[in-house]
Amino acid sequence: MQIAKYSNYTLPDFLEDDDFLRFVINPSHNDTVFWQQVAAEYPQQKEIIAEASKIIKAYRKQDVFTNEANQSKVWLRIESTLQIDQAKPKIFTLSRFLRIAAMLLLVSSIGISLWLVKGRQNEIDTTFGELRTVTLPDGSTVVLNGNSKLTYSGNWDEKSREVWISGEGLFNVKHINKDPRNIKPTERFIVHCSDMDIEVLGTTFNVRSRHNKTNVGLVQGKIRLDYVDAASGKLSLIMKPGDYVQHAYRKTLTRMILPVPEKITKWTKHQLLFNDASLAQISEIMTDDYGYHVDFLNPDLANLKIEGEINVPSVEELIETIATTLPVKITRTDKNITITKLNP
Amino acid sequence: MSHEQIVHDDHNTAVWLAFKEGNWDAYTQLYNQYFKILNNYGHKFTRDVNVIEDAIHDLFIRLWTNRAGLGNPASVKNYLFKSLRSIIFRKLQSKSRFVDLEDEAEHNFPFEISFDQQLMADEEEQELQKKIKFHVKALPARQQEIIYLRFYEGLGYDEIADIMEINISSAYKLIYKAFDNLQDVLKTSKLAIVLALYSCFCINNY
Repeated sequence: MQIAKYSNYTLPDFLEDDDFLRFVINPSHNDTVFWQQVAAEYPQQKEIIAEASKIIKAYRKQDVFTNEANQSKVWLRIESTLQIDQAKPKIFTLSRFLRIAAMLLLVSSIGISLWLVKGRQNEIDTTFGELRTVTLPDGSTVVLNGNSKLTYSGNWDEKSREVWISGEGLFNVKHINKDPRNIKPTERFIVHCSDMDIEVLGTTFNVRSRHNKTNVGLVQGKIRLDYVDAASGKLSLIMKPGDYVQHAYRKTLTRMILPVPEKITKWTKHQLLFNDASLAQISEIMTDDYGYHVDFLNPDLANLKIEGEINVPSVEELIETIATTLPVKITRTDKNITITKLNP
Repeated sequence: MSHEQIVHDDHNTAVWLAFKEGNWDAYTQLYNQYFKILNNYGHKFTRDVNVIEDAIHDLFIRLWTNRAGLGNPASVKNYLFKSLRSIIFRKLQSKSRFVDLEDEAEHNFPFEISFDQQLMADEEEQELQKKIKFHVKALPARQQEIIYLRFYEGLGYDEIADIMEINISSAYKLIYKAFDNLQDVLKTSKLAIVLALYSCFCINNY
């Protein structure tokens, strides 16, 4: 640093000078000594130096937003996106030999499933309004809602337990893995939906996958969702009990916490349960699960909401609840329902 | 040109290298070290905390996913600032309904500092800050940003140019323009002279 150059510095010159800025923001002992020398050598500059440093300091006294309250929340999100669980580092340390072995396994499992498509593929369909409990080859159970389809191969001895679902099902998966750091292929359980895969170790959770949209609610245990996001590509999310996730193909994923997770399984007891639901949401269930056809004479009616909880054992009672709670008239012929505005 | 940093905050070479090797603790440390200042910077572009948090989430996901291919930036902080800035711009762009056809569409993104919660020690300082606030807020967003990076973050022009993705001469031009517009503040007030002379000798105790 040369003292001489500061003899005729203007205010903007000082503001532009890196050495001066460092002296104001974060002075070292040397800086302090140096600027005292400058002031002693050029007394005419004292005033400008003081003004420049006051301006910088006054500017620097500004509001700070640290968002500290959310620091751990955002971190949890990062962790779950990266799905860092203890099992993961193992994957990275696989030796070359094991990597080849893993590839062979994958190839052979594709071979097996191709063979199974021709041969022993189990397919279970339910009609509208029908509930059916399916016991899978490993003893896990699935309660299927109406108008749903579950597909799986008949042989689970040599490969992952895999099922395909469209519609809604409550899964109760048998836990057969003893060591989470070492998951054998045959111990994996994967549910394939239209827009995501769900990987399970042993757990109770509910899946609803219709119209390329999937909702997953986790009651017990731990599962991982693998899905594709339009912006970020392949992503994963680890769900904890009580988590409820909604996802549409390649679109945003929303995550919320269920106050009472068990409620999402109510449908398996033929209970129709809604919370602050709009008529659109209610009619979707009536259409998809029970095969009704719902017409809104005025499209705005679909946005009407029933505040609070509805918990009824049949579609008949559901219709009655709507008619008594909302200012609408419901006309019904067999499975065709028309909803009109109630004239006052 | 000497590239000496004005504010030395990066003693992070070891942490950065460990993180690149896949060390989870080093990655955690980076997050905890930079979360607050990244929020502070992000908050200047948008008051929507969700956007800032999403951007920080995306930034750290990208860091971890691409760690093997990352270089060794001269300043980790500047590297994170630059990345966060471009992620936030992209998010704000996709949020706005209008498609901007201008070349440098990012010039339209706001930049705003606030002094609302500051209590000033004395009246003179209060007056000065009022003046600064008034004139700084009248500046175009990018001029406000360069003032911020310069005088709040204490960055050199080469660092500013890198973060704002402009060349160094543009950074100089931008700050001259800002100074031009700030002329009123930069004119020394005669009233302040006595105090100024006095404080010149006290400054070092800051």
